[in-house]
Amino acid sequence: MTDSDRDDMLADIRSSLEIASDIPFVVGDEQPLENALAAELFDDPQAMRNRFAEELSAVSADFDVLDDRTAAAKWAGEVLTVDGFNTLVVAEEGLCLDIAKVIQADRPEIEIVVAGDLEGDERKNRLGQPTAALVEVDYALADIGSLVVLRDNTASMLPHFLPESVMVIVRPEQLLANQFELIKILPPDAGRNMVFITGPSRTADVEKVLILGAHGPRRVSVGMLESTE
Amino acid sequence: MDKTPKKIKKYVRQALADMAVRTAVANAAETSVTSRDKIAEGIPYWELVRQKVRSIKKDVLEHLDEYLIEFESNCQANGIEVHWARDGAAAREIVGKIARDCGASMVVKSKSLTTEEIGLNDYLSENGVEPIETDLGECIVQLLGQIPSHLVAPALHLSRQDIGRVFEDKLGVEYTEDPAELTEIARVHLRRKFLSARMGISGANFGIASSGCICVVENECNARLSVSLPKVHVAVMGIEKLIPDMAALPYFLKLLPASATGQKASSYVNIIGSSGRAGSGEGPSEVHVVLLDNGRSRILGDAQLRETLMCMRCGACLNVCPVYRQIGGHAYGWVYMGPIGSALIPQYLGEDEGRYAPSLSSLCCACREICPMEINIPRHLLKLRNNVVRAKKSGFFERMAMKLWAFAAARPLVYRFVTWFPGKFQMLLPGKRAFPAPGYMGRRAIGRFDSKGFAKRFRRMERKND
Repeated sequence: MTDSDRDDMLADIRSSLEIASDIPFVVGDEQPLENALAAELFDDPQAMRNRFAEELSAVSADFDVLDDRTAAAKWAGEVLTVDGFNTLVVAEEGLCLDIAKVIQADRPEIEIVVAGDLEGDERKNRLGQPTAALVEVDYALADIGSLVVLRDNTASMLPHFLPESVMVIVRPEQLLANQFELIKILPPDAGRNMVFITGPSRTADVEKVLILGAHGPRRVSVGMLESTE
Repeated sequence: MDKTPKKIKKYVRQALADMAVRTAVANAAETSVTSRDKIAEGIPYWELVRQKVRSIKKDVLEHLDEYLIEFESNCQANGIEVHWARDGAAAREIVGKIARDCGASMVVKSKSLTTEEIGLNDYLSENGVEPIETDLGECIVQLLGQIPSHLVAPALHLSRQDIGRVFEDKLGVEYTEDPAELTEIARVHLRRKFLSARMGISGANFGIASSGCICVVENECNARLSVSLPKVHVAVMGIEKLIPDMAALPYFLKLLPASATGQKASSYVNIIGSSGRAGSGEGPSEVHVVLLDNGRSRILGDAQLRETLMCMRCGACLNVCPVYRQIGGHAYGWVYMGPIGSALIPQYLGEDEGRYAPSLSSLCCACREICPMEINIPRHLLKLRNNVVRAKKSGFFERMAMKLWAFAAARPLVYRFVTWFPGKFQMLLPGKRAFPAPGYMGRRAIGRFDSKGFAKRFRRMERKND
């Protein structure tokens, strides 16, 4: 690319824009839309949580409420057993690693892999094998059952996408009504590298038959952790 | 790609003769429309969001130069290299050079109509770089050497048996027609490619000007893996894909998944605004965005057709189109198909190559009704048909027939005679047959001229009312 390509393209665009547009559109009062969006907010946190659980179910993700770390370890251990994995990946030190260690104390055969401790190629090759992961996210969205990961808040995003089964710890205070509310509270630069995850990876490219686990996780299990104690 | 919209008539005949494809396409389209309607009905403010995104997009198009400069500046501030490509050839060269510079002999690609538009795969293959399509549908049609038959469901026209056979033949696996097993075969095959590719290529559903980032929406997680596992990520984006800021994004994300796949939300919405974080050990070390014009600025210069640049490529118009449902996507002869394809083909490829495309529509307006951006596709198709005639690209006999009709229609007496005479003459044909119309009647019925025409019926209705 040369500067002239850029300049020529911009000149072409400006020349085209000299012609007044004939695109009809309604000059709308934005208030009705704002009112409609405001009506979607939840007065009751329990109602918001119920909606989140419903939406997760609609996208084939599991939802459980976990009282504390011990309950979280029991829950994650059960998912590991059901899925038949002996390797549990966490992104970094912190809550998930602590929970993983509780599982391991009870089941020494479980291998814990800390993704952030592995170098680039080793990390992706290790996580590219069939494994399960226990991860945290930054926010959750009730109206569509989405989980929100901000890249800059985690040592590794690969545990969210490469393993076959991903267990996600969400805290109640992370739950928001919808994307509009999220965008309002995001720090200015935080959303520049962000992923919304809504259920497991899926495809319907073979005769419109829905199959979970196209290239990413086949299973997404969400545990809402009431207390981090 | 060896297809061309110049041969649309031939492709249409072939498509109409293939009942299996017609049934598959019509069933899949109906399923998509039902799912879309269910989601739209569940959003009471759907119409208000449509108005909102329309006004956002109109503003972007009318200040496109300013938004592009803002986008470029913010991308650069984020460490993303921005390239400007006036046409497909320039874009192909840019991507090819990046591949050479990073030593890629194979690239993983997520679904991107823009790269299909510029024939990127053929170019890369010719230059020693193997492009691997990683979206399951795209992977299937690539293995078959075909082009997609739908904007969001590329293998819509294929049966599970077709897919089983191509996997057996091209991937050397045991034949199966079980959708879960077929998906698993593709997963294993492509996981190896993801882990070893040096470069990943994606399109972009949106470019966010004020943040200098792109947004890629998907369901399979192949785009996520394509943009985060290789060392280099290249996104090829049409210049019209910009939105002003992050606050605008949720409005578009309300409409796009519902219209495209009948989902409230797509499984993955990837917002990419820089290369991998230094020291994190993952994510690409280079991110490039190629801004593609390829005729878009020319379209922008048409006050009316400018509206077609609002298209989000959701494919909703295909699903409701009675013509698309009968002929499928391959009959259009290019990467864009359906009602919006009929409008885009002559604009991108010119009135000679694309002269038949605007005629692949019944002008029933279902496309306009369902379009999340409310693009008035039928109006644009009429203008494009008009352009074809004005450019003298329509057939000789068609032009003559239209001239004769115009002559008669402007003279009531002549018109009455030329519509009366065939009716009388037709009475001589035995068995109430219609006039033979070779080439037209193969799959259609033609009426008899001695049936009661509009004028007769209207006069009778008037008398009755009196």
